[in-house]
Amino acid sequence: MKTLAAQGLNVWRGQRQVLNDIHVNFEPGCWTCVVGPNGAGKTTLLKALAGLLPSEGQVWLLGQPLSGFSGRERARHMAWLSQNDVSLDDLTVQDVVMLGRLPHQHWWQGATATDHQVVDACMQAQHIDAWRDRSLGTLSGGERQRVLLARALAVAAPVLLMDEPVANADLPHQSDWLATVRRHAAQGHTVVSVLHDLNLAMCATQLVVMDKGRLVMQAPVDDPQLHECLQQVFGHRLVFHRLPDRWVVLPA
Amino acid sequence: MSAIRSFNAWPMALVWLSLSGVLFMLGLSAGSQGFEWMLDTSDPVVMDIRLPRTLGAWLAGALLGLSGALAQALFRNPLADPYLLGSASGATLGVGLALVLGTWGGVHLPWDVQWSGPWVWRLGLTGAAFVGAWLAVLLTLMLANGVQHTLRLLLAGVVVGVVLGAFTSLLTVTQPHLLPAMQSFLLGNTAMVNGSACVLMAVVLLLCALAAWRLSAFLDALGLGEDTAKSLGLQVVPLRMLLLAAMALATATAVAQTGLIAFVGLVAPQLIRSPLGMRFVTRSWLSAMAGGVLLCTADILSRVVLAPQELPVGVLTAVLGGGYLMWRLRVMHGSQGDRP
Repeated sequence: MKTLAAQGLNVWRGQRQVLNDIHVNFEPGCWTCVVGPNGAGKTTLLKALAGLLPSEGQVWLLGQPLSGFSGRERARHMAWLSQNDVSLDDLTVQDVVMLGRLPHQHWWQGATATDHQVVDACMQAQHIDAWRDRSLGTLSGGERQRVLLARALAVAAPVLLMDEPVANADLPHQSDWLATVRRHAAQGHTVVSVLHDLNLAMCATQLVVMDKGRLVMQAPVDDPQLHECLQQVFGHRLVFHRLPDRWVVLPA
Repeated sequence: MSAIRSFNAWPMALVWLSLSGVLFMLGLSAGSQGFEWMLDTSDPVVMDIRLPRTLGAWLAGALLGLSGALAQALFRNPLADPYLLGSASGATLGVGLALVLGTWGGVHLPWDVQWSGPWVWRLGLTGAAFVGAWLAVLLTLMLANGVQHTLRLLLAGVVVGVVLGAFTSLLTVTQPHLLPAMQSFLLGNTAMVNGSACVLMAVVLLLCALAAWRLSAFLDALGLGEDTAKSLGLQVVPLRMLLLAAMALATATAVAQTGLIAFVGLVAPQLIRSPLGMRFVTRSWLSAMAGGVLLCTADILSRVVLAPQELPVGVLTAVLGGGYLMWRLRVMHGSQGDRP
């Protein structure tokens, strides 16, 4: 079954084609990183997969066309996380995480006991439950990112899409984030993230390499052909080193 | 789930309600000869003039405060207010046109003591103000090509406000008999408020407060960004239009009863800001209470500062609100640079 897939996906911005005939498939239990130079169409691909952009072609979610899902159904099956554009300084941490439960609530009812249980579990997993009553505006950048990740996880969707989820985060926070994402994928979820940091991206199961609106390659991180592809896309300015448990990418 | 849930909201609500109570009593006592501390409830001046006026000032302020909280949450801009989007200017033009049509149709103006159709007239004025406010909002949205770009929206709102203000001035010049009435509206005047206006404002306030409560989660989610709100299954465009309509209705109802009153919608949401987090429903309801307190205070001051002469209340809110914002801008500049 296609948990998340796209066939012949095209996106136009005005007269300019920003995604060109994308065919891609994401498996359950697999964490995929979308990488590529600036302007390659990484975020556009993620938004088109999430149904947040008008696009041509077909997107499949859990074996069915995405266009057949209602907004709420789609929201229950696919969680989205973006750091951009967040201006929620007035809300408490708990309130922000609870927003992740909106797709499970009807407009006439509030949060159920299950919603509270899920939110508590997500806050504990991200070690943010001690700040539950603090407003988001009083937290540091790294702390906010943990809260926003907990919000996305609170949706409890089988598919999780993340656009630059650890931008500007310090190393301990990146380490925590890696552990969370790996655990989430190991539980059978499909995780797709856009990352600028190639070293973090090489910790994923597989990479999708984008360039100029086209999907150049989709392959596991150990694949030598993938490394050659990355070299081409990034202008042969990379050096790959193998450590015991991961790849490290440095500027040449 | 209780509406006002945060641990800090109830004491704040209690403070604003207590202040409202004190101001209400002061409003009943404030007359052209200063304060009368021995209230006579059988006195028609107290019951028929000061009571609806004080209550009306609070309700109009609450509508503007709620409208300001809605505008700030919808546009995610702490300096947004009902004047943004040109809604207040549209409401004023609507009132102006209704006055012209009313006088052509032989209807007496509301400040005429002989006038005998308060409900129809009030509803007509409020309806005209709402249509004006709503058309102004639509015009702004058309100019801004939607609500996606906040800066474009703010600029379009300013343009529409200026153009509609010019039309109102033109109307006043071409219909000189409207000059006193329009001047009263443009300066803001709580003296026109009567019992029917209070009932009308109370009903609209209740409706808008209920809308703010039911749609609070949407406005909270909008703070996560439009994409995230959509990804949570929310119908961003229709919900936004519904809330814009609520904002236009609240603004129009206040403007139709009391005229253009500046700064209340802008300052009230700022007054209730707290470092402790609160959801939109809490913010909007507290902002309504703060708006009520602000306008009630301004109304009482307008009666006693130069007694027996009365100041237009809009002038006072502009001075008080403008002074507060100037102080706040200085404080912000000193502590955080240019961040709002």
